[in-house]
Amino acid sequence: MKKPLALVLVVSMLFGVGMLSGRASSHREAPLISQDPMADNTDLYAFRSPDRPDTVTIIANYIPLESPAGGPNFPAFDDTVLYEINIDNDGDAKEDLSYQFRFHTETRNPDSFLYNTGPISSLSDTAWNRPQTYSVTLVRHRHGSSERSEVLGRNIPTPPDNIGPRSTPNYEALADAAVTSLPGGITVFAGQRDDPFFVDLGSVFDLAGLRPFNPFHAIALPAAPGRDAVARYNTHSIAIQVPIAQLVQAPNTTIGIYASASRQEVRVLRKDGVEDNHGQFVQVSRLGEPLINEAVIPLGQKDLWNRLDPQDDAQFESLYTSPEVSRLENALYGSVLTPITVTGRNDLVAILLTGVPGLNFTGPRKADLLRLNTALAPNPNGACYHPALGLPASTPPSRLGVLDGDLCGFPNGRRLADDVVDIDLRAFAEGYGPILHSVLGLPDKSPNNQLGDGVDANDKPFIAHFPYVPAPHQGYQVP
Amino acid sequence: MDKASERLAWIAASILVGIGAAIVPAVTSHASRPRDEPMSIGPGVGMPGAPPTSSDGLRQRIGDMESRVRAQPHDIGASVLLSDALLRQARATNDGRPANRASDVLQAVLKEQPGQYDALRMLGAIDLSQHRFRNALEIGRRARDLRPEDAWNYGVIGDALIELGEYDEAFEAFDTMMAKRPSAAAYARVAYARELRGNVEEALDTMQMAAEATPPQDPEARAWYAAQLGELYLRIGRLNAADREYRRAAFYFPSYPHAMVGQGKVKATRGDRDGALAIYLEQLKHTPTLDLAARIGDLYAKGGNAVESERYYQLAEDLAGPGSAQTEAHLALFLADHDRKLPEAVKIAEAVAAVRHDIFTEDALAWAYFKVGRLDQAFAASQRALRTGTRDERILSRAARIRAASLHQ
Repeated sequence: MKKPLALVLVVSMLFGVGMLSGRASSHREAPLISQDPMADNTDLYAFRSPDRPDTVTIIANYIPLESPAGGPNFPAFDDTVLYEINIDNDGDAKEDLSYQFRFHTETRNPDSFLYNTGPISSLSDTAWNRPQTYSVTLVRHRHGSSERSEVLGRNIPTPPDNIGPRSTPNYEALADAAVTSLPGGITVFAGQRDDPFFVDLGSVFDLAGLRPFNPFHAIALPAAPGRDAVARYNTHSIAIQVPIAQLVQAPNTTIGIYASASRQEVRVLRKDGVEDNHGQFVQVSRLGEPLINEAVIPLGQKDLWNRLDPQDDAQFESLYTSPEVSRLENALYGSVLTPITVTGRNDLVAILLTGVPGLNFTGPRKADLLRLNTALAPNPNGACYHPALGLPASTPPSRLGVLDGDLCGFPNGRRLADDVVDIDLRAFAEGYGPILHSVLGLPDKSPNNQLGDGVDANDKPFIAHFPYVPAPHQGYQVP
Repeated sequence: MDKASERLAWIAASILVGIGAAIVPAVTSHASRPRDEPMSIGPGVGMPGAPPTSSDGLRQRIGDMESRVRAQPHDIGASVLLSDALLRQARATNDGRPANRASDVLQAVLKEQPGQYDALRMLGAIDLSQHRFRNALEIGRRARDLRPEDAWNYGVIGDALIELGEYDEAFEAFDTMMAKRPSAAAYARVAYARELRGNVEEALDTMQMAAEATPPQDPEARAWYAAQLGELYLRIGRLNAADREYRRAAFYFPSYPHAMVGQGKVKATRGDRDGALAIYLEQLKHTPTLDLAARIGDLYAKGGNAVESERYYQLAEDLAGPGSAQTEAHLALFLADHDRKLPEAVKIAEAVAAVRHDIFTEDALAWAYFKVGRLDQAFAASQRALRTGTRDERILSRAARIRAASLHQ
């Protein structure tokens, strides 16, 4: 016999006051989460493809810090998000071309919640319960008149996530099968990959520490090598390789690129009082130059900044000319650094908002775009050093890119191996190095030109062909 | 928290604007930054770089942040992250105590730093979970004034208004939230607004978008949305789909209360009295609520077991607590529905309706008036309960009976 009254006593002891209502439909309990990883740009890369130098490869990564062992629910692109890679090819900061990616997930057995019910041996394997495909559409924007859309491909497969030797044996072959050729010499890939970014988050988190510079921090610690906190994490990459001729608009050779994620607005009411099921897409994330959203845009303006297009970026110019990062570098490492100028920083405007004259300048219009001068041809290893340096063609690419005279690296586009954290730390600290000092007259303060987080390379080697980003870490192998 | 999800928004912010800026005053002699300026706080539970919102993840996050708060009582970041996890824990266990703790932690921060933005905006959400709707509304508006671009605040404001029955303003707040930044949280709120307006199919579509926009490392939110989809399918009689969504919720978050109760509801609707009873009785041990006890009592009553039925009805009353403590009209509705203590039902419903006039409160008030024969007042309240165009069958059928009785009169 049940004892409800005894239960009441137990219950009151267990739960006390404040018991939540049992009314499941009460929406005061709806999650208020404000973060949105599936619509979150993590990084953008663009470079002339070393193995197909008549093309440019653009890689837009989304979904940060995917834990490879994060089952049973595995990450995927979001079918409700509009993912875009946008290109301005005439210097007005407005996109002229948009490559749009829309995903579709099929649930083969709606009564199973499992990702797979057996080994996935091919992209069409029925043991994969949630295969995802996508379409690629090229939109040509004709400002002032209607745009033109062309579907470049439909039902393009993505590979599954890299789960383990039982679920996803022979993963490399699965991923290779997802590399797809589209008409016009375009190649695409979308799917999980190793996160190619590298940075010492652990130290940076700890009061903006840079381990190699620990003794000089305002709170000193012994110096130590950096630790890559993004190692062993995955992300989702959208990679597209496009013939240069399709991207540029003569006589310009430099293109400005940004990637974005947008979500559809669905309103309770339209202005006319009618419900709106098909609202416009609102951009919720964008990324051109690395670290801008994190390093330059204040927290209170991030939603606004993400919603705006780069053509509206002039309003943020003062955040570049009077950068918070430089102030912080002075404050925390003032004991060792040569004092950094914290106003009138037109050097940062050039690098980050207009392009560098003589390298990848796109005109006076200020916009956060990753600018790539497609006229600079890389050697087969991906480097292209300034001729004045007289280096042999076999000289490997420099992780410091243009700071080392390697003009095919950041900030002329961005290669996977470019160490943008160190480059930015030095640029913000006016430590541009001797080459840019002599060629462009940029300041070369010392030891500001040695700043870095001590993490100089990715944990996995990059691959020599499209999509260049290494295969994802496997859940089975990574704790 | 805008783009805090961006991998480095909270990370590099320490190189940069956020935590770093916050600590600069501590290690240098610079002037302190304004108190209402947002700071960068680590990722919330269920977000990249933080533990998932599984049972273990929530426990781990709460343990970690409790330790941090104990060691550094003024650690605002830890306090906010602790509150965030406690709020999830409260929802995942249907136990209000974690939210009480969260409220205490945030109040402590705000006592030290009145107007601290991150604590304030989180407190709005906690107040909502504790039915302090007027407080939540006031806090939401204060936070919005500090940071009008933060979509979160419009969610708090809209949630509070909807509970108070201020539907036009609430819908406007949700639309603003959506315009600032479409997200799972915004979709869920628009879905609810649509449900209230009687558009269940559109509500389903929008709730589905909320479910899809929720990342896999947040199984608690995924479970919540799946359970909501289950409710909506149940509402339109699609029992297989409802059952599937409730089971999906239980797959995402084992033993999720809404998932378990939902599966019981499907069984009860299918006429599987014993199956439903077994689930409800088991769940009652974990989440004892008026609603569950009443459902059990109803099933016993249907089976002709008056003794057990009465036991659980009595338990339902006891679980609801004293009439004077009610912030919702659930108890009033239960009493009226079961012809128990009808004068008290009226009193409770009137007291709640003095504070809020949402359609559920109006419906309970109407039903209580109806049961004591105050037909004019019942009819008026019933009309107010129908004012959003709801298609909630329980409300509609009570309204129909009240209307028929009024006409008869």
